[in-house]
Amino acid sequence: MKKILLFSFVLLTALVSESWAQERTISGKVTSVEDGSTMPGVNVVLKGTTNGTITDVDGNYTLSVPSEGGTLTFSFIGLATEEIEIGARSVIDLAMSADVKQLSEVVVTAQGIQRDSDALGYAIGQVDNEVIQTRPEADVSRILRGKVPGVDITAQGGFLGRNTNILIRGQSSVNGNNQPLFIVDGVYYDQERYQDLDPNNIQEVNILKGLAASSLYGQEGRNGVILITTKTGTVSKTEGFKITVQHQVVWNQISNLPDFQNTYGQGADNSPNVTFVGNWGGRFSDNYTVPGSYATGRVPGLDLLFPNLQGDVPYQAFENNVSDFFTTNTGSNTSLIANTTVGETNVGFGFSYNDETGYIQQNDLQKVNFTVSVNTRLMEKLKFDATLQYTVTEDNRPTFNFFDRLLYLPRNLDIQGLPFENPVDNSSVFYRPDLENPLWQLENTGINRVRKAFFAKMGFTYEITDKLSLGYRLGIDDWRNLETSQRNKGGVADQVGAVAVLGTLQTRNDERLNLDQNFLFTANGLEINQDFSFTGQLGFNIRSLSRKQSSLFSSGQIVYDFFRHENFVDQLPGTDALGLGNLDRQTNVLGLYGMGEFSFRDYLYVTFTGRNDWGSQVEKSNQSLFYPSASVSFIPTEAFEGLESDVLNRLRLRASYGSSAGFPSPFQTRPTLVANAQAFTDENGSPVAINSINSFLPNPDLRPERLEEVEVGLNALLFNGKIDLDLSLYNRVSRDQVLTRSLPNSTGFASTVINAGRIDSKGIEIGLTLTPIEANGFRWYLTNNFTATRTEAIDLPEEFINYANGLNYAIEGQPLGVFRLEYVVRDDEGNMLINPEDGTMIGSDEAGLPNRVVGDPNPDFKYTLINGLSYKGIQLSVQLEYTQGGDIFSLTASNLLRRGVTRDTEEREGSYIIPGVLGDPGTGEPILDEDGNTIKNNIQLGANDLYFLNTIDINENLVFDASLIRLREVNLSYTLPEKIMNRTPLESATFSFNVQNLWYKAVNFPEYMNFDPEVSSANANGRGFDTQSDPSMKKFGAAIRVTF
Amino acid sequence: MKLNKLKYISFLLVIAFSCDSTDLDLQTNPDTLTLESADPDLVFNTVQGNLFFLDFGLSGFTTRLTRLAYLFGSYGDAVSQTAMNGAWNTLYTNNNNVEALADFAETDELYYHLGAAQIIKAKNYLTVTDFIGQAVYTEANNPTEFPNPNFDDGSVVYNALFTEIDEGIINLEKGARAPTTDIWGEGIAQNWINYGNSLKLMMYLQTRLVDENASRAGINALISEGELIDELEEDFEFQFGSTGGAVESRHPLFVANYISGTPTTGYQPNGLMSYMKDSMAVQDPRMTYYFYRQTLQNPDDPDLDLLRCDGNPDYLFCYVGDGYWGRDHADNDGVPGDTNLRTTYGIYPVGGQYDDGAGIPASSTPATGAGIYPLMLSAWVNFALAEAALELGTTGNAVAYLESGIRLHMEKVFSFAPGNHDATDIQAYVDEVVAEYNAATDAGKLDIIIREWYLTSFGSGVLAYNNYRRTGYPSFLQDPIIAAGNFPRSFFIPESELNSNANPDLEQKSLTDKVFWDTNPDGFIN
Repeated sequence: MKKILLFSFVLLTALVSESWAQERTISGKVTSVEDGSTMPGVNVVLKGTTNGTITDVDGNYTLSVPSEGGTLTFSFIGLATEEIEIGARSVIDLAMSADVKQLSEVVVTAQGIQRDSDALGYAIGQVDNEVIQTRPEADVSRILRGKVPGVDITAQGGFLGRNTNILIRGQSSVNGNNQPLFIVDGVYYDQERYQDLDPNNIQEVNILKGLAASSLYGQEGRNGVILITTKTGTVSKTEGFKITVQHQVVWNQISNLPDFQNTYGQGADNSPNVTFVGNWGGRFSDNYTVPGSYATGRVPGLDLLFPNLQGDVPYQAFENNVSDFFTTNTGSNTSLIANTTVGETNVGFGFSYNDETGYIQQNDLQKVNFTVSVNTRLMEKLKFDATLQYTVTEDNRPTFNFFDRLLYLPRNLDIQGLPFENPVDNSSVFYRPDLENPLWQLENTGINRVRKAFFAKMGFTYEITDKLSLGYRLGIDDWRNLETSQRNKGGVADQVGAVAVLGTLQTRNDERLNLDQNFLFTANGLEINQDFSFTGQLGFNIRSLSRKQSSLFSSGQIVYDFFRHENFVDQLPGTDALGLGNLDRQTNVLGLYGMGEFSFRDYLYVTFTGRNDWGSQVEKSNQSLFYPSASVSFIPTEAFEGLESDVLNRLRLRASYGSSAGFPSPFQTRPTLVANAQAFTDENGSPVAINSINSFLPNPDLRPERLEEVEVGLNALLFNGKIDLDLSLYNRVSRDQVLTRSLPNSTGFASTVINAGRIDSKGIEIGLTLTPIEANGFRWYLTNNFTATRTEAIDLPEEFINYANGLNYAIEGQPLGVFRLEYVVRDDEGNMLINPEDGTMIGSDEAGLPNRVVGDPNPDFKYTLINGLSYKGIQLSVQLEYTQGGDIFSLTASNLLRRGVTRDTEEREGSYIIPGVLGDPGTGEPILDEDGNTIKNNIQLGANDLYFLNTIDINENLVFDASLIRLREVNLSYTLPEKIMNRTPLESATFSFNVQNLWYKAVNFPEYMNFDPEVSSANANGRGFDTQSDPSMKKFGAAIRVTF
Repeated sequence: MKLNKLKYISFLLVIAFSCDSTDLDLQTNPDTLTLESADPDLVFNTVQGNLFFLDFGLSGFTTRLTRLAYLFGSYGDAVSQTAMNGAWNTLYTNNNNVEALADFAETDELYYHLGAAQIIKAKNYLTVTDFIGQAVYTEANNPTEFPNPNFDDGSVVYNALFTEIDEGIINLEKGARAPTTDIWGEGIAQNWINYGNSLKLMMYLQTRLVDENASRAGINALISEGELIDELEEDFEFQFGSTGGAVESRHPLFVANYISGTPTTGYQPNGLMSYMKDSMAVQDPRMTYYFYRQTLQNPDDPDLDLLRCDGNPDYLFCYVGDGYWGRDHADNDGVPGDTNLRTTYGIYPVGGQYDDGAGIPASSTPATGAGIYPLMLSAWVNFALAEAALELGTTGNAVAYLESGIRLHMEKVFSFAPGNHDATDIQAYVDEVVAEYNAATDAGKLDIIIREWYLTSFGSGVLAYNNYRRTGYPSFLQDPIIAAGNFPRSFFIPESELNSNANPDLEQKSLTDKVFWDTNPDGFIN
């Protein structure tokens, strides 16, 4: 652990020079128990004297001692002090081990305030660079998955460049932003571009989970704060010019595909028909001869275009027709980090380049990151520090529709062996005219995103006295996103509307400027008397976010495969997913905050903080909001003598109360007019412009959401540090939810926004590290992270609130985000009701019954086990994860079952009777015989009818439990021993090999889907919705890292 | 001490970024217009657009119910609880815009705008009330006073709508300037007045089973005023353009069926095609305007296996013959890739291709998509007057109205592809219908009037659905070939309203509930 340790200065200078009568010399070598490496700088002192020395660079020492007796004391910061009687020996070698009592460390907390970890009354998640660097993953959030209790990270897709959803302690706002705040080297870093960070330049990640921890950041800290300290941004005095270079080769592949059946082909009712999408046709083994896929006569013109593809072909499976779309592609990342000290000035700079291709050629990612940091003294009392960073991140992928049909291609479709485009006009050619050929999509559609960001930070600190200082810090995060979505003419209209046929081009230029200014007055370590001391801060924060966006949508491509707006007939202002086209807007938030920490001796700390925010998002009367926090940290093992023992080495208890606010998104308080220049056309085809009253009813009384949280926890070190436990319990209440409320349309309005309702989250976070063996340079440790969160909707003004694009609901008394869907109607005993006409299940829609809750996307708990071994320079860690529960609504499962392509539906030649009793489809009531008893269903169905029409038409049947076991990461590294390094110009060299997402199993999913529920295509607040986005990725990496 | 330098640095920084950053008065959305900038002509455009959008949206459901289009699967699947969401939303949000025009009428004397908007408002209410049997009227569009409005019975709404239309007509008669764009009335106030009166005619006819005397009196008054849509030029129809691309101006059913590679919205109904082709001595001359055969090849060719229903006793038609190849009512079999082969829409009314027997895929034809959506046709007014004359004894001769309705409609259809049919074809058809009519019983006469009206409804199912529920005709409609459930005698209350209106008296109704003007017995139609 490379932490900045308190008091180190004091300890390092505790040296004594005076020498006594010297009668013999004792020497030896000090090494580390952990990895056997030599330990320079260890204090070796003859006990009871001031006679001592320190070990040299190779861990050797020599000391003159009296001829008889004596005891040597070996001490080193962070390690257990050892006392050894000299006896008659002249050589004493010693392997030192870590001090289980661990001295407190300095932790970077909110607003960059450095605090003693003992003083913190709340949990803080810490992730060290060791587990972030040299991963074959350019997205730091994906590296962090499973590594910190209470932090839940899911991905929106498996393609390179796809965003993740990061939830810290669950979701506390129904409609508001629930993503954490990113603070890099002390200043605001737009959460939308966290992917620009270079993981290899991260020194440390501190995660502020609770409100007491984060409230000084104001409303944006309410979802937790990810504090990132970069290596370049925190350069301290170094000797000489130090450079670390890393190069890594990455291999990417799709993590899994379904197990396809290769027994039956296209068709229905067990007979072949090569124009069907479904695979309910004949048995391949029956040796049918069928028209070729392009010879069915159903796509006009194919007979002329491809005369050689006319005629009959054997009806046979093309087993790899889906898997041939995917390959293992490579990538690399290179990173250079250097720092040096010239006089009072420390300079660091970093450069990284990342270039990868995903599991298809058309998905790639490039990232360049260039950083320079400097800190110095401008005057005796004036410190200055600055960071400049420039990043360019670019990614490409094919159309969003790409996976819509790819995974259920007919088993007998030789897609790779057939042409995908019309040789005359390059339009899509496929076995059906209403579907687009996925191979055509790969060649003819694309989404390109380029993000260029300039990030600057400047800070001044004026030291009034050694305990009082005044600081100013400015952060500028200036970035733009250029997004191009293009599609050649010749596609199929069904996929994206009629314009697809004509070709389209949409460009969007989104510019952001985030200014973050902070004034801070600090009083540090003021001693009130011998026992009490005080540390305080008073600050003022100005944060201004502005956004400009323009976009253009063109359709009607003239020359094929040329994408400039001039090459298109029609242009319209483009709109993004939010319906936003042209924007020029700004939001300002001001915050005045203070923090006071009182400490009593070394074992009791009480901290109070408060912040008042003024936000421009709401009307004047609701702009100001004050939120206080308080926390206590108490260390009984220090306070009560004798409590500390070999069993209980150290105990710290924490308690805190925190509060925060969530301002609504702006512009919801004043009425607006809807204007559309081209709403429809008149008889001449000329556009007709409209003005119309907005169906959204503004709410001038809108207020911020209010959050409160109580947290208790403890840290305990037991059995000489063999057990290290960190436990937190919390209860968070979020009131005044800003809810979009549907209004009865009969009021003339469709929706409004109100403050109502409460979301309660309770949770347990456990971090438990066990070290069963630590001896002779061998260490075996087990890190266990356990997270359980319950989020419940309380006091809602309506029966239910639908959010996040439709699947998730807030319903009073239910977990937040439950699915409310059509269900299979059942009788009082739970038997499914069956339609007596055709033997199919009766859905609630058909019976005119309202939807009901049929699933909960929130997992019961998540558990991570990191099993680590280290011996000398070899380190091995294996990260296993388990998620219990949490439902997912899966369109992938729906389509794969419906089309009969996986082995799940391979057994099908018999007939099926859906277990249940007969019911009336019109009323949803069971049908009774003359004795008043229900009648058992005995109507037989074929597999085709079962899967194609009925079963999966009822949405309840598409909800699956997403319990999951995953082998997240295997990391093996080897650091060359110093002996070898000494013979090279290098200071150190490490080789490492890493695999991400090696294996997983969703245990309650249909067995052969091999579906990875972590890829949920829901947007940021949605959960558990699989709309067939890009499947997850498996990544391998081999890296070398040298320092010289 | 160099404090001055320090001051200077911090002063600069604060000045550079603070002024703009500390402004908290940012509540007005700079990216949208405010209400003050509303333009009455543009607000009227919203309202006149909604006249089309609401009716057209419901036409999709009703053409399938009435077999003017093909229905896949059961009635329950076709008419879900969300079916009316769109129309309901359009009705009430549109009312806010009508309200805004009322304000403009007061200040700027824009009575033409207001009068036409009031008639549109009444028409939108009328359609929704005919479908659901009830609507929020008295407590509508008042979120402050009635956040959870009560519903009014259909008869209450009907009464209010007569008044709304009359007020609209009064405003139109004030001689105010016309809106800059008037896609329906073409800037002529009288056109709107005729439309308002024609709506009243339909309302009187619709309620004839519950209040025969009021209907008779009302219709006679309308006939004597003579301000009805009774000439082709006065037809209310939405005219589509021929340009596609960014602003799609073509008929949606054309776009869905004719643009390359697009799946059709479905098949053509075998029952209707069979009737038009084979039921009369002469094939209905409109058949080649309504339907377009993409291939003349017999789909029954065993090599192609295009017709999966062939030989299945559940099917009444399966294949109509002569290349007319659609689907039976409610057939729920899987759909093969035959989109460019099956029979599709022709030139009337969607602007597709006139079927001259070429038998090439629709996407390869030069059709433009400049079709129409019929909202109120002079032919329909004549059929309504024929029914009124027959059933209520109102002024005029039923058979003369019937004949006039057929002639007006045929003339209209033929004009889409002139030169293929002429007056002699009309005469032959009219002669046969009139002879059949004169020989028919009273019930048979009504069946003939409604049937001929039905045949002119191709393209819009809204009135056909009302007619079917009111009269049970035409009698030739095919029964569903599967267990399709009960025929919806009304639509559900839209789920969006049920889910958001906390009124405790509000309960979902059943699809078999009858609306107030439908006194026919349960199971009357299927």
